[in-house]
Amino acid sequence: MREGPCPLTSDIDREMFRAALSGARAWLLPVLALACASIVTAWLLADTPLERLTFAGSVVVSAAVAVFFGVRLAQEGKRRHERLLTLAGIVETTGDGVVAARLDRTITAWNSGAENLFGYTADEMIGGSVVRIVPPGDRHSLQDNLEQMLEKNGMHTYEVKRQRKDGSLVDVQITLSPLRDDNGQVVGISSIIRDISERRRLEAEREQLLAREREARADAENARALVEEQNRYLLKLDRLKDDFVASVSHELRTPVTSINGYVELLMEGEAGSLNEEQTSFLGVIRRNSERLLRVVGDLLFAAELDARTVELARAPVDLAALIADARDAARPLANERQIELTMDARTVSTIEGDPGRLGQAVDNLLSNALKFTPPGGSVALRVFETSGGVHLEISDTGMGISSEDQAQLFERFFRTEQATNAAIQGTGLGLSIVAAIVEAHGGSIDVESEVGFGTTFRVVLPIGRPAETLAT
Amino acid sequence: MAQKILVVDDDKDIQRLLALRLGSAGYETAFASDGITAISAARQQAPDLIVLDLGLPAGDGFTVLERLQALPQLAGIPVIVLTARESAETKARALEAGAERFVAKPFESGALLEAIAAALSA
Repeated sequence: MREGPCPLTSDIDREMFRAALSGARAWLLPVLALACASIVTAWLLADTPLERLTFAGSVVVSAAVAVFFGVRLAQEGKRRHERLLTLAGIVETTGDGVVAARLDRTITAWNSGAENLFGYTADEMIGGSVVRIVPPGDRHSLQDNLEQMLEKNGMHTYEVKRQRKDGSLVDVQITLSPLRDDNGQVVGISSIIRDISERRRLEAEREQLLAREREARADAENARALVEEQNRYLLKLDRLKDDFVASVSHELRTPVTSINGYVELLMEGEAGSLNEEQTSFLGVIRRNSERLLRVVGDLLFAAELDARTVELARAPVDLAALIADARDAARPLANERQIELTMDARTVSTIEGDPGRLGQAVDNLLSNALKFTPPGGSVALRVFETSGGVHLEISDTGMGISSEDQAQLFERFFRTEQATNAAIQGTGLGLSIVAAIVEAHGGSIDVESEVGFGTTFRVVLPIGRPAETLAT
Repeated sequence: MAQKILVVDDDKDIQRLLALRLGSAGYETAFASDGITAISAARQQAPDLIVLDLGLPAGDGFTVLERLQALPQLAGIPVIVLTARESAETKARALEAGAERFVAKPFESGALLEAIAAALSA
């Protein structure tokens, strides 16, 4: 017999040969016996050479038939043998555990897959009980699953834990099938055992990832809800602020209306004629009332700048005329303070802008110049045009501004130390508002100054560029 | 016969100021300090013109305007709106609600009288 690659081949070979032989014996013996009997009988009865020849021929034929059947049987056996080898090879090389047992749980087969999976060798397990790989406390599941298999009368698959030789547990999937005898009776159980710990691990990982994703999504949702809430809150604050500005506007201007109104009545003599002093005092009240209004206006404008709700008018503005008006309005104060006020205005192109606001800006700069210049000093106004636009310059011979202060000059509520020390009135809003107005018109403002000598403010406004509103 | 002006303002000082000014200019005056009184006064007194402070408390200023427009017998009376709020938005809203003219507070009496004369002759 040839030795096959499978280690069990030689054993199986001998088995199969013996089996084939025992099978063949059943046939051969009677045939041989019959052949011998007929040979002896024929020989005794044969008289003539012809009869002896016939007899010899029949002997040869019988022998041939016998050999033929013998070879056939041997070939059949060999085929079965090879088929068995192939199946045995599959069972041995599969990674899964293949275990066969009788109904009383004694193990009759234990492949190398089962050896690797559980750590017990075939020698250790064959003849022993399946119970050995069942974790304590789980023994009842054997009976349960056997019954289910019998009920189904076919394959029954389930997942369970089994115990290795070293005591560790392993997650497995078991498929039970009934083993039947020739009569169809179930005489044993075949089980295919697959290690599913890897699958379990991947499932757990996936579950973790999904859980993390769910968490992340919940966080994102929370964050979004929070942002939405904050937005709502900000909008509410914004609206409250606008309402506040509107009501402050009303609440401050209403009393001023009465102050101005009654002062006006008095000054017109509606309550009797006035002497000079009374008229003068009333003038003071009036002036301060106007000042109050201006401060209120500045504050509200600043608030509007914050809220970006400033509306600018759009109209053609002649800056030369604007400066001239400002100078005329400031002349009484200049005279009072004995400051020389001069103007040099060239003809300039009209620009588009808000005449009211631009006027306010110029008034502001001019009033500052007068405020910070001592008696005997001078303030000069200039208007001219270059390719860069229309230029406005206001120079004074006042106390000047230090370079440190120049850096902060246009900030809201900034007042120089000199201003505070000299008790010069102002809220500190003026220049920030001037800057805002100039910038809203697309222009620029700069300051040049030296402490003790004077200051020049230069404003450049572009020609032909429409005034932008500050509303976004 | 002198034309009658109904002044609606919650500030008593302003009421008195207007009484003096409008009286000197030859107008007859009537007064209301809140929205409800304003409407009933308008019904009862049948003024030729109404001077209305938009800043009446509780948003009543606009309410009065709207109610005046809603009532057919009062819708024809010209309304001059006085207010400390200068925004273009307020102005537009007032004119849309039926105000004839808009005068800002604090006002110069001359400007107010001019506006009244113009509204009455229209």
